[in-house]
Amino acid sequence: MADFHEAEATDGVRFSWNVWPSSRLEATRMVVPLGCLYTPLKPIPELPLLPYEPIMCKGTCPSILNPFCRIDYKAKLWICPFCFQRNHFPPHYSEVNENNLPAELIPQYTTIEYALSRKPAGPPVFLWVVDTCLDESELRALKDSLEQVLQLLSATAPNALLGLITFGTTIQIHELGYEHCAKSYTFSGKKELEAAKLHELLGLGARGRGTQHVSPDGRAAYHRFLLPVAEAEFAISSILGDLRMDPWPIEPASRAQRCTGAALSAAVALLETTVPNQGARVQLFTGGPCTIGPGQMVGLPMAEPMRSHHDIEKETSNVKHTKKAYKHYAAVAKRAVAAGHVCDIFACALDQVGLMEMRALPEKTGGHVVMSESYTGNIFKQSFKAVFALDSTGQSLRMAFGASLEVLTSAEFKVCGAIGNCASLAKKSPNVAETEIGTGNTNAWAISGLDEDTTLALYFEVTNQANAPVQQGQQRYLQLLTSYQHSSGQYRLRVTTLSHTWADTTQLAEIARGFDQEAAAVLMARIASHKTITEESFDILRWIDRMLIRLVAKFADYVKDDPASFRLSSYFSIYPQFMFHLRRSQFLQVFGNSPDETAYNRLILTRENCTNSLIMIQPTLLAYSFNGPPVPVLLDVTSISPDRILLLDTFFQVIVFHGETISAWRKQGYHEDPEHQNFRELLQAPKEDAAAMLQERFPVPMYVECDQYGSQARFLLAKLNPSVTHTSQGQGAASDFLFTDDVSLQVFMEHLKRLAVQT
Amino acid sequence: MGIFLKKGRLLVVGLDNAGKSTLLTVLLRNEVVPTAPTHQPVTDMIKVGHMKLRAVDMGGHEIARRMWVQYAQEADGIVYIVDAADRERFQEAALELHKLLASPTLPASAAVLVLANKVDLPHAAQQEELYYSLGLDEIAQSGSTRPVGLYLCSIFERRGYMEGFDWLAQHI
Repeated sequence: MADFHEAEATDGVRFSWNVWPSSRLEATRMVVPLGCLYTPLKPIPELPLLPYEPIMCKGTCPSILNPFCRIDYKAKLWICPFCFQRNHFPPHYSEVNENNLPAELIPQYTTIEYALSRKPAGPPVFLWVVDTCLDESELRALKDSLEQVLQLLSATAPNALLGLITFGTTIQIHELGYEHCAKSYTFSGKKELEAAKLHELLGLGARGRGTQHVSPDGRAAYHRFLLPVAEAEFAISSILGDLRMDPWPIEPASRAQRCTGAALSAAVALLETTVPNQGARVQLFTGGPCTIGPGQMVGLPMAEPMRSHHDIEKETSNVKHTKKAYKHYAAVAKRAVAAGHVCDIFACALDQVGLMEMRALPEKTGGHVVMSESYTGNIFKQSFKAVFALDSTGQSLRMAFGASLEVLTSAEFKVCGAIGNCASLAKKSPNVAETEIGTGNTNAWAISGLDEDTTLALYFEVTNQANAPVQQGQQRYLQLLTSYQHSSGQYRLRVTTLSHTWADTTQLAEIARGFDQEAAAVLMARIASHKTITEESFDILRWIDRMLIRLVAKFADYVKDDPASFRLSSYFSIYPQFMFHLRRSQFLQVFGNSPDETAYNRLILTRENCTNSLIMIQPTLLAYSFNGPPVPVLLDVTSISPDRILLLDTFFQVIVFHGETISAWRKQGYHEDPEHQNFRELLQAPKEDAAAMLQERFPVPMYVECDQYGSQARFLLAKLNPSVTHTSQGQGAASDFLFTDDVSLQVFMEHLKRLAVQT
Repeated sequence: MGIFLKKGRLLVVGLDNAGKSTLLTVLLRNEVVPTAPTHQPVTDMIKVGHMKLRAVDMGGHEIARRMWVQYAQEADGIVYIVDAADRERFQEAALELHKLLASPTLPASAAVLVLANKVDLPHAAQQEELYYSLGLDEIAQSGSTRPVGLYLCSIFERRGYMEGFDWLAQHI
């Protein structure tokens, strides 16, 4: 385990299998796909930032000089480990020798970053797209938050450009640079304007001359709409101050006329024609479904219900807008990706807003999604501010833009695809596998928006045939090249180069030792979640079961047909549990969730790193008692005890649960009694730990404090393994039990053993 | 036509933790599982007796109750679930029920089935106590023509609610 975490700390990478079998056939028998989770911008302590250009291979691959290259110091040559091309060092490397290595050749720097000398991109651009069909209190809360972030930005990023679009029945693009009065351009929400047409109507000149068009004061004409924060502050403040609810009347029994689809398209059009390839975010704030124009997800009459999971599955008449709407937002997302721009969605409403239809925006551009019930709540307020947090240097915004990740592999294996919030760059390369997992048929992906958490899952296949075995001691190589715009505008290239040994095909034990159960579970979860686009959830659950049975049948010790003899080594022992919880998770069980909620959960899963994803799959549970410091306990109903406090972390929710006795004491006010300082401290400890979790997480989780047998305790109960139920409670001394017909982990394991040992 | 299927739209409401999602899970999948509190309204098709209903499961926590009246305008029937063992909240449950009934958006024809759940629990209230605690006597005296029925049930033990739905079927 330690090794896996070490690789994550130094390179931001976690492999399902760290030791690979050397032939295609053997590799396919490993059941769990070969793959890795890669966090391109993972903060790495002492990561060198080199102020010079990288040395690139002149052969068929664009690899970068790295510690695994073979070097001939006398001849001043290096040999590319990917294509075996011999490259001469450039003249300024003539001093290089064994004792004088440039940073990129020093063995410990397998991950390194270059600050490229290209002219920096301009400052980041933020375009706020604000829904005005919110009710009074929601709109007020949203305006407050925007105002606060405006103040925040004027201190931390005064040069960033800011623009404002408001929409309801129509779209208003606000001209911030107009000094005399508030001025805006209004467009119909019922149809989509072509980018070039919009550009022209805004008086930005004909497209083509585009950004060259300048206004009389000598700055680019688009500064009328996108102003540096320092200058925009006053204008935006006064527009927000005057902003009222959409004035168009709402018919009785009707929804508000809301043109989200056209407004988003106009926002992307404004940015793609004015600041292409400069880091920019469209930030949508919405509180209801799109009901008119392109991207419409439901009709105006309330009598027409929004599509449910049932409607989607059975293709009822309630899904009549769904496909068309999805296509609209996917097309907008594609334009944003082409311009290197990001789309964030803040959806705060009691009901669905059509996130399922809009999901391509954050999914393809790497944008943020925050969903909660209200703009007045902490989830929105804190999460929105966190988007503009500074990085560890305290100098720059934590966000990065316009990235592309290219994957290079040595000849024995190829790349099948990626699953993450990214878009294919459709780059044909000899190392692209025929098998597609996730978004494949390319070895490079665009990630328009990313930060230190953004994590992609990459999948590989061994192509080496069994009759052409790799030679003893031969290594496999993987190079991950991420070029991106730092929020300072500087172009950077991060290079991670990894080398691993091949396993002797007969050495199953060696392969087993290299199994990273956590990474494997997350890589499987991403595939399962991705499959939901095309497959029925019943089939996906069956697939997970089959894969698990095959895996343990291969790696467990047992006597055929004797379930009692079944033993799993520690390298695999916790993996079945992860699969058990994955099957039960909201990623695969849609029952009791709206389609928007399901889409939201899946979008967050495909963004996070290994540890956070694992918390989503199998939440963590800590127990606090008088008997010592907090201890991790099983996610099981037996962990409930009257004299304990439990802290549940599901990533989306953080729940403090008081056992019966504890809550009774608290209700009697014991914690206020000076004699019961211990109790006061016990009550306080989980709250403090919960506060720390809320601090560091994005989106900010929902926080709930509850008592055993109370209404909110259901947040905890729904996640627990039902080892004791209403039918079995008589048999043990458990303090609580669940009313459930669900299968427990124990029953699941019994079935697994039986099926695995079957001949 | 012996197998006549009545179609309708059903709104399932009630305070948080009354058993709304649990009821729908039992009706839809014939299984009891612990459910986390519902947030956004969740819609499913259920078949009860000779009725095929498009049932909307609404969140029961305070902020989500704002949406009840919005969804009520399309309802043919309402199922209002009450936790019969939670006396502390009878008043709150009564208040929300009366607010809903007073809403102009609720069609005059929509029948209201009040299901008092969890009667299997030791100290659960019985018919008469519930009737008066929930102010059903006031509704009866108000001269309203809306059919309102009170049925006791235990969803966990799978009893009582079918009688309620039979009653509802006569009024949809």
